[in-house]
Amino acid sequence: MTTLIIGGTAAYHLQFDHLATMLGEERFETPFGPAGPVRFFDVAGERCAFLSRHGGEGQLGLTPPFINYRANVYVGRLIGARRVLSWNSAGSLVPGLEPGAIAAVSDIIDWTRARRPTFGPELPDRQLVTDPLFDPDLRQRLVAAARRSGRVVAPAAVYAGTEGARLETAAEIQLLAQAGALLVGMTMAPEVFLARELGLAYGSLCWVSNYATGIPYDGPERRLFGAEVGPLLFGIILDMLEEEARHV
Amino acid sequence: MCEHTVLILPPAADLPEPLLTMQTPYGPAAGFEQDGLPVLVRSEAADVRALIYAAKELGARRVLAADAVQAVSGLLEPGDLVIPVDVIDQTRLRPFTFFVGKGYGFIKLNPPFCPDLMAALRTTARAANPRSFSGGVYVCAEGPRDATPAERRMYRGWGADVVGGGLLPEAYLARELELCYAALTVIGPAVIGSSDLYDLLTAAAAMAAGTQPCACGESMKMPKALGVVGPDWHTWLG
Repeated sequence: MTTLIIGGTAAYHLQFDHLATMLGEERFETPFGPAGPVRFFDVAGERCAFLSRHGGEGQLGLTPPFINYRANVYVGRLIGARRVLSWNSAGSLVPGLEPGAIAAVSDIIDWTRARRPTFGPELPDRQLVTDPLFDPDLRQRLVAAARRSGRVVAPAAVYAGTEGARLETAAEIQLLAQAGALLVGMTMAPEVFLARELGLAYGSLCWVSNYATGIPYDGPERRLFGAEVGPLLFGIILDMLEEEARHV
Repeated sequence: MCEHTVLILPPAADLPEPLLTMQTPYGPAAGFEQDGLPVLVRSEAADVRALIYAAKELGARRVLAADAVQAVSGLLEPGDLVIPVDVIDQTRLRPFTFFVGKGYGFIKLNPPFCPDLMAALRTTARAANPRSFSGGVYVCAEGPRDATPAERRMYRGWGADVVGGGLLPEAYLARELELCYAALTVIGPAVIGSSDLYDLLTAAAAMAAGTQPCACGESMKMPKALGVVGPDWHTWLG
């Protein structure tokens, strides 16, 4: 089963040759604009594809409001993928979920304001998006793999998607916390909705990079966006795929 | 006394006519000059980026703004002065960044207003009107209509004190260009003239003029350090 991995923070720093058996690289034209480069690699005999959400080489290419989510997700259809696995970095809204932890997303509140939230009538065969958005079985397997990394893992979390690229204010974080969000980030909406419109299963691990604005913490401020994030999250997803292959 | 300061006022019938216009890449910014101090006037029709671009181009380091607002807190009365310390953005259709299509712009907004300018506004507002409050949370709505009673109840549940339409995305845009920005709001229906607003803002500007440079002027420090942007702010724009 072909899987499309969409990498977030630090994906633009990844050195793939050290991490996986590479099969090639391709750019795609989609009805929604160009996407890629997409890197193909082999996991236990299965072809997987990887796309860096923000683009750029060695540095982040586009901030979240300017990513072409529709083109990125449409790559999934073009390569025959059945599912999307992604990582997104997020701020924590609870003191108990510290930077350096990993959280599997189970639900989302869309607080973005300037994005195309659907493929729209340009894609007549799009599917109606319904609950659950996040595949529960996929989430459990992502959680198991994340735990094998030794990191602290939250097995389920509500994510609030904001527009950015500015950070949220403390007042905005308070109201998102009231609404039940544990994480805040800028990249999962509308990506997850678009994947579901294509009938793709979607699973995400959030890298907790920092505390959200105004959330109290002990010690110095942590904002963990370094190059080490890429190999860690990519490695966890590879581990999940390899583990899955062992149990087919 | 107030050099490197630019004021932003809401549109009003008692402003000088005609306003001067300054061309920017985002269209014209309208305003006038009083005692050598540039005063820009908000316009519903204009791209808000024109105002902040104009302020920066005029050499501003500090921007002091005013806005007419509706009370969300039941304790506020018409004519009260509120200096907001935090914001909730409920605008929908406005251009919200200078950095369109770029890889930078993760601007911190904790707080979204310059602490030094807020302190100066607090002092001058208090001297002018004992019903002056700071610490308020400002909701910026798309407008131009007023917020409904139901919306104001919802905003109250969010911890807000006032709702207006003028201060966002101005505050973010100012921070993107490393300007200090803070605002004075007046609870409506407005009972304060533009010249009184001008006097309040200039008094605060004079008070703030002696303060040391603050962190607002370093908001682009990280992309500068990474070599993602150069020293000339004109080259940062998307």
